[in-house]
Amino acid sequence: MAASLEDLEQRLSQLRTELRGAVRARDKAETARIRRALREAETAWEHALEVEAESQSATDDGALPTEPQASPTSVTAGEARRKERPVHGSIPIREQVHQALTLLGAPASPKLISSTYEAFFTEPLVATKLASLRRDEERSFTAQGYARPYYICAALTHDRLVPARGLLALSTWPVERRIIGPLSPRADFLTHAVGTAEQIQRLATAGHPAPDAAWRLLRRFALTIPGAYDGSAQEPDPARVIAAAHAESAVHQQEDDQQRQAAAQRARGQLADVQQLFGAAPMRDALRDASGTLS
Amino acid sequence: MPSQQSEPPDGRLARLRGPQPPQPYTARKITALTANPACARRAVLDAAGVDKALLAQQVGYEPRFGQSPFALAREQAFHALVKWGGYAELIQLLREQLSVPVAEAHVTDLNEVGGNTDLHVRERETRRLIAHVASGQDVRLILDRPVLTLEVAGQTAYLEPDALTHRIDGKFHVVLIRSFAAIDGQANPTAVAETAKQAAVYVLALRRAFETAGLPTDQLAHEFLLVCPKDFSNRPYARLVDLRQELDALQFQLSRLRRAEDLAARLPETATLDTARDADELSSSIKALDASYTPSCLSFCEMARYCRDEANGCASPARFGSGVRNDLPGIASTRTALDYLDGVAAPGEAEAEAADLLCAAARLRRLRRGVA
Repeated sequence: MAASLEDLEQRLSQLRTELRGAVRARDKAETARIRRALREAETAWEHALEVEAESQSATDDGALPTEPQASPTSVTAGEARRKERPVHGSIPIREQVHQALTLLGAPASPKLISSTYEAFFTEPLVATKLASLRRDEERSFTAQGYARPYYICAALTHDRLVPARGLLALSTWPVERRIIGPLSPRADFLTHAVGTAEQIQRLATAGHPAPDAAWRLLRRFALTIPGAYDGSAQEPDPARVIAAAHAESAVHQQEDDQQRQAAAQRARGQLADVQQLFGAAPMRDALRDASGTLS
Repeated sequence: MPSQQSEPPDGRLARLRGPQPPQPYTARKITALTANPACARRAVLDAAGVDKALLAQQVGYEPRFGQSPFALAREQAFHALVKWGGYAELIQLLREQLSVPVAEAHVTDLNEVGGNTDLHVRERETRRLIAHVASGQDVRLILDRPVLTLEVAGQTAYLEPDALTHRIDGKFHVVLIRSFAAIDGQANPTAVAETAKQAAVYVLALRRAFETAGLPTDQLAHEFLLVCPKDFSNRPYARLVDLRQELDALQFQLSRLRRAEDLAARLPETATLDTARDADELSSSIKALDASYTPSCLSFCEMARYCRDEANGCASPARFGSGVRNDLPGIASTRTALDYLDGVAAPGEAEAEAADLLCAAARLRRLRRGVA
């Protein structure tokens, strides 16, 4: 047993060296394989350690009662370390955008996406990095369509079905949800407010108080929704914000839905898959020619 | 915005400018022109789309002012704040202060049309949309950055107000977002006056658009909505500002503006305002255009320091401001005025009255000095 502990330790350090090499070479498959092996070796090592401690305490016959306690704590510490690991590694930007958009529930501007993400996940999301994201996603989709579970795509204008200026959406949403009609910016804004308030509520029920940045974001939403905030309270009440936002969106819903559905139907009929996600080609050339003849 | 080209000024003006890309005509330029309508120099330079800052630099007068990058950044940040979250703040202002019903939240972003940011395309889309809204076929609460055109001194200017809103008393209002603070409901009066002048340009352009489309112009408000930060916070604050006086003044000044092309036609055939040419050539062309310098030019015209030195050189009374200029009618130079006082030259019949007043003033001044 004792010999195997030493063996395992040697194997662990060997695997760590290999892992370092694989990460440097950016070989993802190899990295994943080594990580798995490393984890296995670690569990084996911990197991061996436990067994050793038990056998020792058995021989000492409870002479050292602190020892058996010490080994479980080291195990939990090891587990905690393992749990932390994915947090430390940087999350890909599209993943971050996906999380923020799922939370918001409607197409949003890069600025709102980054402030939402930073409010709830306390990790930076640089808004300028999002500039090229949509194009990259489109390229990836064109190369091998539907290879990923989701794509960060465009919201479409209701009249021309071209990508709406400065908005990002998720490909898993139906086209209706990604159409931007005259009322949609307001309707989406209310959806964002509801999403933010609900996330704060969820965090509260889970026993984690929402970060200050999240409250600030909610306050900003609440200030511009009628009846959502009276200014006397320090923090807006999420339930009240949700109720107010629902009340206002009910006013817009019918007209907005009609426009969205009509546009979505046209999009499904007229556009190819890529275009349904990333918008019809901008009418740049045709219009420039037209304006050229006019002037 | 500034990279956008306005309609190429045809023929003579384009030749004057040379191969440089034309600068767009902005509301700021139009108000500057109407503030000093006698200035042929500025009229031609603006109509030809010459980069005046560069031109001033070429002839040796680096403009000392310009738009401060801090002020620009502040302005942009405040714009972003007001338009944040689907114009949420602006909608809220309209609802709270101008009692727009909650059901009205239709917006259209005219910053681009179908992915196209060309001014012509945006202008056409604006016209189409305004016609739809004005005739009641469509409803819009906010039109973001529409493009309007206005004929100024024979040239077409493309103007972009910050926003247009339709739903205050069923009238079209121009919305301007500015970053100077309104403290206790009081904003810097000079800044408000300047903004009002620019708003008048937009309203006039809107009026022209209505007239050409055959729409009733009584749908246009003679007020504009000024949005600025409230007190020392960053919260937006809005007020309607009356424009009738500015509109009348602007219309009067625009009708007085001579056509820039006629002014340019009087230049010699060799004249050039091409900023790539050397200073002497440029200077002689600029001199051929009459300027009407007043000290207030310094605050809005890039060429002002050039004109001021020129006014110094020929001892123009306007160098001391419009007060002195108005006290010396018909006397083109302060040197002549001094000659009259010293008795070196006798005033002609036209200048006699002014010269008499001047002599009386000089006598009073001498007396006072004697007493003191």
